[in-house]
Formats: sequence, C-alpha cells, structure tokens
Amino acid sequence: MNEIELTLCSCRTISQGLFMEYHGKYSREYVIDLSTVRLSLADAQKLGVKDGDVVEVEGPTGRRVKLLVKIDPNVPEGVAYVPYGHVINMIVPSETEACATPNYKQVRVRVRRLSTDSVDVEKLVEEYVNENFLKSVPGVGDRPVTDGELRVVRDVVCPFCGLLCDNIIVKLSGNRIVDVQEACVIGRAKFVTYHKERVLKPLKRTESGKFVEIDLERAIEETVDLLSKSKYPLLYGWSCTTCEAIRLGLKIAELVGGVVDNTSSVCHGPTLMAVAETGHSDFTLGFTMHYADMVLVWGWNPAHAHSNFMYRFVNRVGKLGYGRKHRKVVVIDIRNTSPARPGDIDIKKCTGCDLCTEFCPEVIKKVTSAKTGKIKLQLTLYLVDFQKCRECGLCIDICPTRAIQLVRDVDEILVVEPGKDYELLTAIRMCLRDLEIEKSKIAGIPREKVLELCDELRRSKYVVLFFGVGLTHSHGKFKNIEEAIKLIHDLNEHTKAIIIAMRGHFNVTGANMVFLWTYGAPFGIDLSKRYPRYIPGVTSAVDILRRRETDFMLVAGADPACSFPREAVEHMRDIPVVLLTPKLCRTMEYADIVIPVALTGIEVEGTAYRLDAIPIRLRKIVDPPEGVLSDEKILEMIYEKLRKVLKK
Amino acid sequence: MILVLKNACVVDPLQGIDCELMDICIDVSLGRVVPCDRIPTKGNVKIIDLEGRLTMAGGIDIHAHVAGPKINIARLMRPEDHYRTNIPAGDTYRASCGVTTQTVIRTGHRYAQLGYTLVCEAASPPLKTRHTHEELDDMPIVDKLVYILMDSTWLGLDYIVEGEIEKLAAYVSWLLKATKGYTIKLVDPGADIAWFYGNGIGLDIDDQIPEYGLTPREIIAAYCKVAQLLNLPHGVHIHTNKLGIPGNYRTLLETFRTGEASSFQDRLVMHVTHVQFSGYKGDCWYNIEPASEEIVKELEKSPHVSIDLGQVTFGNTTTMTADAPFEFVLYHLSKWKAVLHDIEAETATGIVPYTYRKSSYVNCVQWAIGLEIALMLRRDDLWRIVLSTDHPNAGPFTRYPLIISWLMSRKAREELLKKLNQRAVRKMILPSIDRELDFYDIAVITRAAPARILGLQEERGTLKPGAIADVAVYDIKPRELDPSKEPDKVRKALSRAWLLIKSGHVVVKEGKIVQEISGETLYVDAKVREDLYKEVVNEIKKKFKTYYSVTYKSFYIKSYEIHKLKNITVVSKIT
Repeated sequence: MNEIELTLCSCRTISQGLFMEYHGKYSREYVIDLSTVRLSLADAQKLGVKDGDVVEVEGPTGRRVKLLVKIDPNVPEGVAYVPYGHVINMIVPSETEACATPNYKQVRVRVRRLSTDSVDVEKLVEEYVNENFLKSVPGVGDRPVTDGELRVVRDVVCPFCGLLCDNIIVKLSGNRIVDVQEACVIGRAKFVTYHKERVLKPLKRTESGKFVEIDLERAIEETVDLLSKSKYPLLYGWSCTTCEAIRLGLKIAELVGGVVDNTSSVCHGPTLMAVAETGHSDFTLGFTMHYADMVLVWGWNPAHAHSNFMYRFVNRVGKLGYGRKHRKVVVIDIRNTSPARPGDIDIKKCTGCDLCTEFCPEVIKKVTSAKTGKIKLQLTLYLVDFQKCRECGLCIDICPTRAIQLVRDVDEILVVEPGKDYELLTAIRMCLRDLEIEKSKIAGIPREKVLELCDELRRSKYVVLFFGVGLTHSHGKFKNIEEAIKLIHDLNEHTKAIIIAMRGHFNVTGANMVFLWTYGAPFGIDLSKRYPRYIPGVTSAVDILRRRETDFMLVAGADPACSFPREAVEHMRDIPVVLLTPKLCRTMEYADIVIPVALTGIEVEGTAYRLDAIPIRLRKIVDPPEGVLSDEKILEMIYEKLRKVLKK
Repeated sequence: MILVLKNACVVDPLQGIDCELMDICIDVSLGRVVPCDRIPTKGNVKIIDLEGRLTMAGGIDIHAHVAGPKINIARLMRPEDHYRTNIPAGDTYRASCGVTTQTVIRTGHRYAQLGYTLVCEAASPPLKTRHTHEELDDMPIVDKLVYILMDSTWLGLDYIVEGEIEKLAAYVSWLLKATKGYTIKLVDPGADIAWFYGNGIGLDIDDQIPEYGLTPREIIAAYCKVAQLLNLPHGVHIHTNKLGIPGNYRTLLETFRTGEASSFQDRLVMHVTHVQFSGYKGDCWYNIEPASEEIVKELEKSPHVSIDLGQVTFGNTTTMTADAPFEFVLYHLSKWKAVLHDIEAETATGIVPYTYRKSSYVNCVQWAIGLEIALMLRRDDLWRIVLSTDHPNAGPFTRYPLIISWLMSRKAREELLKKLNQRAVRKMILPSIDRELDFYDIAVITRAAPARILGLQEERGTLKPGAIADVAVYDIKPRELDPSKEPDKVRKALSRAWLLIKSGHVVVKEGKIVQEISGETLYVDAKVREDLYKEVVNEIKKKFKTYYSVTYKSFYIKSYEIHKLKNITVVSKIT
C-alpha cells in the first residue's frame, strides 16, 4: 500500500526537550527529532517503509509535510507520533472548537510513502533548520564567558519546567557553568549551555528582510510607536518570565486596549475551563511522598515531560516512611509510555561512545576500575547510580546501538484507544456507583480490567491522578477534564482523592495567577473595551491570529512560531512583531524588532509559580551580559514611554 | 503642605469624641494628623470645608479573605461572578471586575469607597504566603496585613506534642518573620490533619487528632500562651471547631473558656472570628436556633476574648475557608461545584459557591445571630466586637453599609423581617430588640475596636494628632439626620465616601477614585532569645527536608520582595 490513514498525535519526547536546550532550536539534532514520525511496526509494514525513509503526511486541511520514519515498538497500530514543534505544526489544523486550544492530537492524516530517490533527506533537514535565516542575523552567538574563581551555588531553582526543582547545585568557574547536580537531563542542559546562541544586541528588520543592529533606546521607541498606533494589539507569551514582568505586560495591554494571552491557551487552557465548570480537588506535590498509595498517570509521561518528578516525589520516602514500594503506579495513555530506567548494558553492543554519560553524568559514570559507584551493573565500562536515576529513559532512547536494556518500574499500563479517554473516565465513574457496564471492551480495555482498577481505587487510602495535555489536546478537551474531576469528587466519597494538572513552562501557572488576580480570568483577556473580557475561542491568541484580526504582536517569554499551527503563524508574517527573547528562537523569523533580555532564573531573579501554585523565588547566579536587561526592565521602559506618548 | 478639614463632625471613640464640630489638620508630606493650633495661616495650606459632614478615621476590616491562593482559585472557579460587573479603566484608576471574588484592584477601590483603609487578609497558608503578598502588593490604596495559618503545621504540632512551649514560641516568631505575617490564625484546629486522611468532619474541641494524639483544646491553649509570651499585638485569631454545624455554640463557649484559662496577662488573648457561624443551637438543620443569648452572657464573663460578627447578608456569595472538611459538607448541601486544595505539611482549603436565601429557615436564623449579638451586648463590651461578614463567606464586604443600616434602625430591620422565613422569625429574639446603635457605636465597631484589638490604637482608628492621616468623610450630617428613621440615606452615604484621605493623600472624592497609591504591609517581628531562636531554626531546617518538597531558602520571604513593608517590633518575654 502506498497510502494509509492514521491518527496523528503530537507529543513531547525527552530527546526533543534535551536537544532544544543542549543544541538549540536551529540545530540539526533538534530538527531531525522534530521531523521524525514514530510508527508502529504493523503500519510501517503496510506502507512498506523502514527506519530513515521519508513519508508525506497530509493533514485535514490539505497541507502536507515530509517526515522521516522511525519504527517504535511502543506505538500502537493506527497512530502516528511526532514531537511537538514547528515541523508538525505545518499540518495541525488551527480550528480550536471554542476552547482556545487547537487539536494537536487525534488528527486524522493520510500518510504516503515517497520513493527514496525523489527526496533528498539532507535538503529536507536543511529546509526545516532554515540555515539561510541564521546567516542573515547579526549579533547572535555565544555570550563570552570567562573561567575564573570556582564557586558552588546551592538551592538554585531550575527555570525549565513546571516542577521548578529548587534544590539544584550549580558549580561555576567564573561565569561558566561547569557542573550541575540534582537536575534532570534537560535542566542540566539548560544551565550548562546558558551562554550559547544568545541574542546580545537589539535588532531591526530592514525592508530587504535582513536584520540590522540598533540601540536599545531606538528599539523601545519603535516598539512604543507601533504599540500606540496599533488598533488591536496582541501581547502573547508570559510563561517563561517572572510574575513582575507579567504584571507590567498586563498594564501595557490595558493602556493600549489590546489582547493579552499566555501559553496556557494552547496547553492547559481546557483544564482551567473545566475548573470553572466543576471546581477541583488538588494539593501541593509534597503529599505524594507522604501519603499517596495509588498514583494514576493519565495522558502524561512523567519521564519525558517532567523528568525529575518520579525521583523527587514518587520514589522519595515521606514523613510516614512510605517509599516507592508502598505506592502502586498505574499509567493510562494511548501508547505504551511510562517511566523507564536503564537495565543491563549489553557489552557486546556497547561501543563506548559516551553519549549517555555526556547527557547524564550524574547517574551514568564511566569508570576504568570497578571501585567507585554504588550499584555495579557494568563492571568494565559504565556504572548506573539507580538511586539518582530519574527514569527518563533518555540513555535508552539515544543509545545508537540500543545496548541499554529497558526496565519499566510501573505496576500497570493501560493503553487506551485514541480519543476515548472520556469513555473510560465515564466507565470508571459508573463502576464507582455500582452501575452495570454492558460493553465487554471500554476504550480498548477489557471490562474486567476497568472493574479491577475501580476496586483498587476504592480500596486505596490516598489516590492521586496526575494528568497532562494528553487529555486537554484530544477531542472533548475540557469535557475530558471535567469528567476526570468529577471522578475524583466521586472517589472522595469513598477515600481521599486528588487530581492535579501537570503544567509545562516554568511559570505558566504564575501567568495564570497574575492574570486571575488582576482581571479575574486565567488567559485570553481582551481589554479593547478597557475592561476585561474572557471568551476562549474568541479572545485567545490562536483564534485571533487565525482570523487575522490583530495588527501588532508583542511576544515575551514564549516561542509561538514553534507552538502554534502554521495557519495561525502565517499571519505573523504580515504584521509587525516585537520579540523579547534571551536566546535564538523560531519566532525571530517573523519578528521585526528583537530585544534581547537576560535569562530569567539564571541571570535575573523574580517570582515564579510551581505547577501546584507554590510561589518560588528564582535565583540569580551570574550577571547578565553587558547592556542586556531583564524582561521586567524592558517592559517597564516600554510602559513608561507609552504612558507619556498616549498622554500627549 | 498642610491640609485643613474645616467643620468636620468628628466621631472618634478612641478620643471620646462624639459628633463634635471641629477642624482636622493633616501634614501631607508626613501623612500624619497634626495639632491645629500650630498651623500657619499663610503659605502652603489647603482648606476643605466639610460643612458638618460625618468624619471618622479610616475603617479597619479585621477579617476578610481578599488575597491569596484561595481567593485566586475562587476567581478561576467563578467566571459568572465577573461577567456583569466590569468596570472599565478610567484616567485615574485601572479596570476591574467581580463581586464576591473581586480582582485585587476592585477590592482596593471598593474598600476605599467605603472609607476603609486597613484590611486584614484572614488566612494565608505559610507555604503560599508569598503569593498572598504579591496580590496584596497589587491592591491599591489600602494598607494590609496577613494572618498566618498555624493550626495544623506539622512543625508546630511537633513542639506541642513535646510540650516545648518556648520552642513553639520561637517557631512562631520565625514563621511570622519568614512569611511576613501579623499573627497566629487557627482554623478548626487540628481538623486539617484529619482531613489529610479524608476525615475530620465535625471534629470537636476535645476529640483526638490522628497521628498526634492531641486535642484541639491543647492546640488552642498552647498558641494562646505563645501569643502572650511573644507579646503579639493581636492575640490568637481563632475560627472554632465544628464551625457551621448545628449545636456548635457549646464548642464556641468552650473555646472562650480555653482562652480565659490560658490567659496570664491582663490583655486580649484571643479573637474568635465570624462568631455567627459558631452560634447555633439544636441538633440538626431542621431545629437549628440562634444561641446569641448564651454567647453574649459568656462574652461578658470573658474579658480576654474579642469577637467579630460574620454577619450573614442575603444573596449569592462564594464561601472559602481553610476548614476543608466543612466545605466538603457544604459541597454536598449545594451540589454545584467545589474546590478542595491541600497544602503540604500545613493546611487545607475549600471553596464552594453558596446563596443565602430569605426563604430558607437556616439562612434566616444565621442572619439573626450576628445582629442579636451586636444589639444585646452592653455598650462597654462593644469595644470587643468588630463588624465583619467574613468576606466573602457570609456576603461581600461591600454590604457593610447595609448591615450598619440594620444596626442603626429598627425600622430597617422590621421591614426585612416581614420578608423572611416566618418560622425562623419566631425563633429569633431580634423582633423584640428596640436598641439602635448610634454613630459613636458604629465608629467603635468599625474603627476603634479593631484598632485596639489589633494593637494599633496609637496610630490607626483615631484622628488624634500623631495618628496616620486616614480620614473618611461621608455625605451625611449627623446633627441633621436621624439614622433610625432614614436607614436608606445612611446606607447610601456609607457606601460611597464623600472624601477619603489615605496617609495624607486624597484618594476618593464624592465616591470616585481620583488617585491610586499603594499602601503598606505590616508584619510582626517578635524578638526571642538569640540562642533559642538559632536552635529552633536549625531544627526547622533539618525537618524541612522531610516535611516539605521545597527548600528552606524557597520558603523564606525576604523583605525586599514586598513593595512597602513595615515591621512592628515587639520584645517577647523569652529573653
């Protein structure tokens, strides 16, 4: 067969996150990972493709994208997996079904095999990397770092994901970060490469399309000019910056009567809408280690999305002395994903390439003698410290010869058919109320399994349901979450039950919090009438861009060109875009003015909210590069200037 | 610059002034009231003629849930509260919305319009107090302070189990400093420990708490002693056990007695909050009755206890409290939506929307309790009660003028009584009460008493020279108007201040916000013996690693994180 129909799910992978931080968004490694579609063996055979072949994927709107094939045994038949990013977003439809969030998952696509001679893989990758653009940007490069006095900073907060691990140990030599402990692989990469691919000078796009350096004052003046002339500006981002900066962003939006939106409109927006419908029952994560005896993981892969999670909360021993052995971990997802730790290393296959130790030096150590290390797995070459293993499975993923064996440490994995989470949730609720289920299979899971799960839930003393965008991005959106919350409310009649959303960006929760206390709504706020209006699907970023309503865009603390569907991003090319960014990012391709900012959490401090809404103060460990200010300062300058201009 | 308010009809109970025509002089740069005899006649003097309008010090709300993690989730849960209440931004003020779950900007504006200048956030979990302060920083105009929830903190309970009162005191001193809080708040002491296991509904004062084997009475007694040892300006702020459950007035009386028994100083040791919710006789919702008479009698016998009313007003509201088990009960009564939220090693919270109906027997009984207590107390004892609605639990604070009109006018009460559930009216004492409070009494329960209970009577709640220049002027002339006959006029006038001066700045003019300034945040720095403090901090640091999932450094709030921080240093008895 040359063509089959599959269900496309875009998802997060650990390698994607790692390469983004370690190599950068314009690196070959990152882009190759983004443009690889994971297929089941059965589907690959149907298509007649093998690893490294190229297929063409056609989305529901007729847009097409060429992707490389990787056969993944964990993917069920009928599903195609692609990591989130600008490549797959070329075909993701921008329709949001009045929920502000496009369907990143469960999109019906047609996958076509392309003959190998008709595609030049090298060219394809080059096109996706867009190296031509890179050449046209001056003032981008590594920030100069100099070795110097050795120092160790403890209790640093990692500004990457919503977990905000605040026990990181950073070793510095001068202002170069040489080692990071207690962080996951992505967090470590973020620290170690903080100086790479930085934007150091304000840039302006000329009419020929090339960037030229300008001074900061002029960049701000032009931004203010654009803002004050704009009729319906959109201020987007706010999830990778401090709450102090977000407050100023809101002030600016109010002043110019624009729309202000944060990244939760494309991730957990539906969760927030569900909370407005039903409330919720949540907690702060520390209780997991103290009390939880049943951990349900739904539509979220802790290993890939929040790698430190299992290590910090589930495996840790709490106040009552309960550790991992006392907890049952059940994973419910549409593919066979779960925390995975390395098992034996096959000596015959291992080539000693050191890739695993390069990314994970804290856990996997290369030794010449067998004296060091705690548990000896591979006497001759590598030692794995299991007590510190985060179970992210990166070493298994990236091992070129697949020499590391995979061990899953979860008690049960239930694989749901795509788009049927709502059905399963309803079935569990019915079981809890002792209603009879007639179907023998619910969402692809045998009835007996569901009954068994329900019994266990009832018997457990402390149930925690962690869920991710697996529920919010699929069909049903906020209705899925609503049902999940109702399930937890129902369970609370029998035992103690908790549900919590696992948020992505490090301060996306903070953005929601600031939006809420200032304007009473969590995202997508329209201030064009000088009072806040919150209508998801109307006043949310993707919809405004898709309908081509806005005439100016300011982006701070996000990379929408990477995360929005291409249909929405295309409008950004037609309007002036001002971007505040510390590093090279994909939105720069669409930006007209780029203002460099310091890296929040490494070069400047401020407040951020952990995913369970605990406010944590980010710390500064090195000085920002000369002439580069924080988001807060830049926004303050814009605000003050804007006020003066508008008063006139 | 000197601002002179001429012909003010001043009501200032802390100076004993009752409706006297006089001038008030304010030094704008100092933000203080100054004596009028030394005012130069020429130069930089601005005069405002008040023409005999009612003038009082800025009001003080001693108990309101206005900022913090709880109210923010409530804002998320109640979009329907915002849709129809949008106020567009003006030239002098920012946009806002909300009634029961207002945005912080609206809260600041509405308090200012009511003539209030200090608001006390009633409950903040220590771990998330940074959030509370961030919100308070954004709240314009009013000054603020935060009570810190301590009843179920594992670190504190450990010391109570060990019987180490001095160490507990040092821990409280550390916690207030670490979270920049004002005093100890106990909410249904111990119930949240049981709630972590899914239990704890109706936990009484002598019931045992799981894990620790303590009773709530022991927790209350321990913290009362600590408050006295530390010389905290405001005593322990208590929300009683069994709150909201019929028959709970006995628990309330026992709480009063515990406070009396553990007091060893001649000062207020305990403030029992929203007493209305704890004043029910009967054994189920059907035969619930007001227990105001018993409460008034016991209160007269307990000179070390102060209370606030928690007066119910009719209409829709959002209930929120750290008493999670009770909110779970309320969720089953209302069956709409609920937020339950647990905070590690500390406390839990619950939020449920609720409507108080005039047709409901229970709601009418609740309505009567607050008013009966205020009207039956001796005039001297009014200095120990404060007007509150436990905003937004029994109704938003914007309904204070309505409550004042009920307190000041029998006519207003009788008009409402006709519309209430008549079975409930038959159980009330209220219809037989003639008493009507005057402006002096109102100034006591909204200004003087809370200032004294909070230990701030030198600077706030009064207009004497040297006090902070917070002045509220209302558009009524007490010498010409009879509040008993014209309750509506009183309500309207008190709803929109004619003039509000905050720290010397005019912020409200004829009910409109003319300027947004930022107020200060007060916190208590209680000094204890250095070596004891260090020892306790070391113990806390050790336990932190097992109890919390954040580090000690992330927990501690530094002074520079808060916009305008002002500390009140007290020297404790442990030196």
